Parts: sequence; C-alpha cells; structure tokens
Amino acid sequence: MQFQEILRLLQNIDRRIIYSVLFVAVTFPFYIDWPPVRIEVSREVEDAYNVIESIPPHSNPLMISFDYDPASAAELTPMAEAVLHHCFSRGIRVLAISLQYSGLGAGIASDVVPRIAAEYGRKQNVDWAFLGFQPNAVIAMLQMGEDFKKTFPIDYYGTPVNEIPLMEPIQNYDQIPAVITLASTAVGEYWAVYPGSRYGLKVLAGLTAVYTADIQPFYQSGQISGILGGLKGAAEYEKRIDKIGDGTAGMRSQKTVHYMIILFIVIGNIAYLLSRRRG
Amino acid sequence: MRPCRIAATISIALLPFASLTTPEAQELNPPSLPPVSDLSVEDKPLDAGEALKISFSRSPGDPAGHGPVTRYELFRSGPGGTEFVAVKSFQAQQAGNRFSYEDLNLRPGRDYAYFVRTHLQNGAYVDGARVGPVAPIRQWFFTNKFNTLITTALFIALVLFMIRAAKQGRELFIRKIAGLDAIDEAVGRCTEMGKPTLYVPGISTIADVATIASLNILGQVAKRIASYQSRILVPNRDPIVFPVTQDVVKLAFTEAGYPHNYRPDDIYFVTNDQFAYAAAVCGTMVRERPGANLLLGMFAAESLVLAETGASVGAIQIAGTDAISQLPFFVTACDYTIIGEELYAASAYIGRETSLLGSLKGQDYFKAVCIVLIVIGVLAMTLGVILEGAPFNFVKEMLRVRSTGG
Amino acid sequence: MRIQLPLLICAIVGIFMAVQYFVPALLPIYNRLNDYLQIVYAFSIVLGVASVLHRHGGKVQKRRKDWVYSLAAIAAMVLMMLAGFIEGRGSGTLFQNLFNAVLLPVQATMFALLAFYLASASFRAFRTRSTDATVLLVAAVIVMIGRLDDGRSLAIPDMARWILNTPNLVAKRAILIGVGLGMASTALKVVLGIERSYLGSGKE
Repeated sequence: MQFQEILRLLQNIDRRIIYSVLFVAVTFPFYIDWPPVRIEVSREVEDAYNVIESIPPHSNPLMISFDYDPASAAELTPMAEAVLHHCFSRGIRVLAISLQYSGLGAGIASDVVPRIAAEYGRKQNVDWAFLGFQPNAVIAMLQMGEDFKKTFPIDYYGTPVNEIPLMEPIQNYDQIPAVITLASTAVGEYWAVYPGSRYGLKVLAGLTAVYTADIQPFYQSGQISGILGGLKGAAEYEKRIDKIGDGTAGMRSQKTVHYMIILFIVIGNIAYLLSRRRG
Repeated sequence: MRPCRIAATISIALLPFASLTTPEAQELNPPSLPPVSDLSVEDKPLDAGEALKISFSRSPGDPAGHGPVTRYELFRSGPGGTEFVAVKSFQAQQAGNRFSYEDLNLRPGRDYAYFVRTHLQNGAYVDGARVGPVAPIRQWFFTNKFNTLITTALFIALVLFMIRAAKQGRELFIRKIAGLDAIDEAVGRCTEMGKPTLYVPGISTIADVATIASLNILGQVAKRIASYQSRILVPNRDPIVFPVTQDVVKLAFTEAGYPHNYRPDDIYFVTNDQFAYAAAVCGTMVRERPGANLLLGMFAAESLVLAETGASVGAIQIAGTDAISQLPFFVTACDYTIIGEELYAASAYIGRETSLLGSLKGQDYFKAVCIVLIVIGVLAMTLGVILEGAPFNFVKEMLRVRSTGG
Repeated sequence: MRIQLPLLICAIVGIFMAVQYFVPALLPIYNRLNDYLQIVYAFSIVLGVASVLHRHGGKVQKRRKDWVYSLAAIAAMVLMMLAGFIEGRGSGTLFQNLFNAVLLPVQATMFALLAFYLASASFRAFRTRSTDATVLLVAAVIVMIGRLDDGRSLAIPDMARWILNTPNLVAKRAILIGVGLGMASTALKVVLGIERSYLGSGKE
C-alpha cells in the first residue's frame, strides 16, 4: 500500500474501529484495576463538603433534589450515594425530593435513599424522608419558599406530610440549611436563580460534567456555594469522605478513554500534516 | 365534733386528690419553670400583608432536648380580640435554642396577638407573656428591586422606540448570519438531489423561547420548500408543539400555492422521552437520507447523537440553539452553527418584518447599555480595591440584585 | 376571535406577571396562578399519553409499516401503568423492578452512546486546518489531560482550570447575556402580540 494511501486511511479511520477500541478502553479497567488514578479534592468540592459538614446532626435536614433522569444516573448516582453516606454516617437528616419533570428522578431517589439509609440504620420519616416529585420545577421551587406542605401534601409513599416527624419543624426554606441539586439540565441553575436569590437558600450543585462549566459564573458570584462536577466530582467527594465508590472506579475508564481519544486525534493530525507536506 | 368542722376536715383530706378529678392539665401557679419571655412577632417584610414572622427562644429552664419540656405551643388571637387558639406546636427535642415560624394566610391590617405555652412532662403547662396586637402590613413595592425596575423600563422603552423607528421607515442594519444564509443553500441542495429536508424544532415545550424562535424559522423554511415543491420532515418531541408545527407547515404550503403537496404524515409526534426521540430521529436520518438537517431549537444531551448521525449520512447540517453547553457539539459536528441569540434574531433576519427588526435593534442597543454598565462597574470595583474608597462601593451596591422577598 | 382571544389572554397574563415581580401585594394572585399552572402541566402529561396512543394505535389499527413496534410501545406503556396502579411504587414492587431493570439501563445505554459519538466527532473535527482549529485542538487536549489530574509537573491541571474558568467563562457569560436579552425581547414581543408563531398560523 502506498504511503499516501496509508495517510488517507489514517485521516479517515472507520468509525467502527474507533468504537471498538473505545469499548475496550472503557471496559478493560473494570477488570484489571488499572491505570492508577490520583484524585485531588478541588476547591469547589471542598466547599460543598464544608457546607454539609457544618449542618448539626439530628437537626434540620439537608435537602437533596434528584433532578436527573436515568440517562445521567451513571454520572450522578455516585455523587448522590457519596453525599448520602456523608449525611447518614454523621447523623445529618436528609429530605429528598425530585423536580425531574417526568418522575424518573423520583424512581431513582426511591431506590438510592432507602438503600444507603439502611446501611446506617437510619429510620424513614425520622432521619430521612422522600416527598416525591413535582413536574414543574420552577413553580415547585417558588411554592416551597412559602409552604412545603402545600407543595408536597403527601410524601412519595402516600403518608401525609403533617404526620412525618422530620417535617414537623419545616415550613419553608428558612428551616432548610442547604439544598444540593443533582441535575443534568438547567434545573441546577434554577435553584440558584429562584430559591437561592429570592429566599437566600444555600445551594450546592452536583451536575454532569457538561453543565459544570455552565454553572461556574454562579459559583464565582457566590450564588452557588459548592459544585460536584461529573464523575470526577463524585470521585473527589468519595475521597473527601474516605469512602471509595463507583465514582473512583469510573475514573480509571475515564482516564483510558481520554488518552485513547487523544491518541486518535494525534494520529489523525500527524497523517494530515504529513499528507499536506507531501502535497 | 360540729358538722362544719367535719366537712372542713373531709375537704382538707380530699384536697390532694382534687387534681385527679380534673380532666385538663393545670397551669402551674406559681410556675416551677420560667415561661418563654422573648416571643417576637414582626411583620414579614416585602409581602402581601398576609404573614407575620414569629420567633422565640427556649424556656431558660429547658436545655436543648434534655429538660422537662415536651413541647412549645403557639397560640394566636385573631382580629376583634377573638379567643386564643393553638396554631403551631414545636417539639422541644429539636436541636438549637431558637424556634421560628411564619404565620400565613392572615388578613392585612388586622391585629393579632400571640403567646407561647410551655408543656411539661408531668402534664402541666406555663404560659408566656402575650405579645401584640401586631398587624401584618401589605407592601406595594419591592424596594430591593428598584435597579431592576429601572433597567426593565429602559429595555422596554428602547425596544418600543426602535419598533416605532422601524415602522417609520428608518433603515436598520443587521450583520450577516452565515448559518441563516445557508438555509436557502441547504434547501436548494435538497431539491436538486431529490431528497427531503429534515427539520428538528428542538426538544423543549412551546413555553420555551427557543421553540418559538424555531417555529418562526420553520414557517419561512417550509414556504421555501413548498415553493421548490420539495419535501420536509418534522419529527416532534412535545405533544403541544406538534399541532403548532403541523399548522405552521400546512399554512406555509398553502401560502406558497401548493396545498396539495402538504403531507400530514411528514409532520409527526414521536415520543416525549428524550433519548427515545433521538433514536427515532436518527432512524429517520438513516432511512430517509435527508439532504439537509436543520437542528434549530433547545437541545440537551441528544444533540451530539443527532449531529453525528446526520454527519454520517452525508447531509448538510445547520444547527442553532441557545443551550450553551450543546454548542461545542454542534460546532464540531455541523457545517453551520447559529449561536445563542442569533436564533432569536432569525425571525427578523429571514422575514425582514419591520417590527421584528426594530425589536432586534432595541435589544442590541440595550446590550450596549449593559456593556457600559459592566465597564463602569469593573472600573469602580478596581478603583475601590486600589484606593479603598467607599464611593466606588456605591456603584457596586447600585448594580447589585438583592435577595429576600418576591 | 380564534387569534384575538389567545393574544388578549397572553397580553393580560404577561403584563400581570411583569408587574407582580415588583409588587408584593399581588403575590397571592401570583401563587394562585402558579397552582393553576401545575394543574395545566399535569394535564400535558395526559396529552402526551393520548398522543402516543393515538399515533401508535393508528399504526397498529391500519397495519402500517413497523406496526409491531408500535404495539410493543403501547404494551409497555400499559404494563407500567397497571403495575403502578395495582401494586404501587415501593421497593420490591413490579413497577420499581421494571424501572430498575429495564428503563434505567435502556436510558443509560442511550446516553452512553454519546461517548462513541464524541470520540468519532473529536477525531474528525480536531485537525490543525487553521490557527483557530489548532488553538481549539491544543485547548481540548490540555483540558482532557488536566481533568484527570495528570501532567502536574507541566502544570497541565492548572492550565486546564484556567482555560475552563477564564476564557471559557468569558465567552459563556457573553453568550448568556445575549441569550438573556434575546429571551426578554422575544417574551416582550409575545406579550405585545408582535410574535405569533406559537399560535400556529398566526392568522385568521
């Protein structure tokens, strides 16, 4: 095969070859615990940790809003689990809701929260409660600023909120020390714009990596107090609470995939430059 | 012994048992525990006059969660001095020494009074001092939004002024937007190749401004396609947007003079699940092999799936979205990308209607005002840091959007 | 009337919403309208179900191309609805099991496709065709390596952080301001009745 033909092929590698190599790069690290990853806790994650850490145990609950659907579960559920481990291990109460419009976030929350709570022997409606979902996120956020019980008259399991001991002192955002929104859409931003600005609620954001860059202006202006960004953010939080989970495990795959993509880009560019030089 | 002395002796003997016959708990007098003494009742600021903010501290004899108190109960007397009724109960075991509550659904300007009853473990209670009358006051302006009001009024005035100027015949310049100019080229290419044009109006609802902008472009594009007697496919994700797109395309074909070429099956609703919709549209791209893909509207994670599949079938791709996070994917995978507000300008750019052009220019002039304010703010903040001067902080305070209320 | 009535409703409600933002005394009406909006939103879910049934039901009834897939879609929808209504949604119910075993992996799989598309798009797009393209390529490589906390000796994580937090944010903020003004302008046009595309034809 002529060199020029080789260069042309290298510039136009078949998609199927790229996809096959990518598949191996993603799955391989799960079986062999390689490559090694070093995780340093960033300032954004440290700030988020400090906000949650400052909540007194057995007092007013941290609100966790599951605003993502199953498509983003691989990236955001490790984050949710890390935060829940942090809360339940310290006795911080948790109030879970979901503002993911189709209710799929509620399905995820109804699985994740009880499962992690059970590991620490935390009681439903005393140490944690899950109020269910509301379809219109902005309206629900504004309503909760006035009256929680009006927005969620019953919880996800059908219990009237008036009968939930954890909800007894909770009227509106004044009694909530902070909210962490786990979102894959602009809903994460709405928490800062509506409850954050209007009611002074402290907002933490756990977002997919794509949206993390969008939320930085809010963090820099202080409207958001901490950010967990993507799978790396989950891995950093796991490191901070000293509990390894899916976030850290996924970072190995992320490393191999990143380097694989860089390798393909380099190959393509070398072939491109060589073919240009040869005219 | 005289009968009266016998009666008195019996009464005294029975006295310790008197409380057992009383169904209600007794107020302790004198109280063995100090009552709540710092009950505070204030008007909630910046509201419709329907709420009062109430707060109080624990009784001094009740250390947090470990004292003889079971709960605190807030009582309220309504307008006209009605009887006190319990409105809220607070468990004493909660952490912290301060309790707060917002009493809602009150009547503006009417007097209310409150006191706090401290319930003890032995069933007794102690009442605190009454506070009131306090009336919730209705406010008529959010005083913390004055700067927002000024800028909003300025914006509306600029837009209306420019619309009027445009209607009076003033020439308004709009720079070239390559992506919008390419739409004609793309539609022409499709017609030459005998292939349909695929138009994706985004995944959002009719309430989204990007969807409204996309529908504007759809009307113009559908008219061009109708005049070329070509075909347009419009898969929809939202069930409310779907009939609107049907109507828009049908009217376009009618106005172009080819109502018989309109195919209702080409404008269809798929599903409102994000990735199921993306999969369906990808399937359409692979089967129908459109000559051009127009991806205009609000998109989320499925943007790259759509753009890459479109690139793989060899279609010319023009994408436009206001979702900033999806722009990099469109830029890498599409031939032309319409960024952010260029999408909103499309209706004015393509149709050249005077009122739309005027509003676009008004928006641009307001952007110039924003730039000036940003420069002033940055200079003031920088000088404030260098010179440690209070006057420069005044600029910061003037431009800041405050929270609390509304 | 078909056009005038929606325009009038839009104008009245739009102006009220703008005014109430500055007037606390109007908050009760605003809260009541929000309650109504929640109900309307819930009805749109009903509309979605009806649309799916109409479209796929029509395909099954007329035995159009790929009608079997439409039958599968309807069957899946009915199964989930019945499972939820009969047994409820708690842990261990059929509804929750179907959600965890079918819906969750299916949606995650579709999202996972993005990784493959990203790889092929990056390979195709990141070429040193021009100065701009070269800058884009170098920035992308630095950010990809920096996000892994590798290359510390070359300060790559710090460079990646700077790229994300400075030039990237500068551009994003500028676009955000433009988008915000564009949205406000479009909303104003909708309220004033200048923009009528949401009505469909916009004409009588």
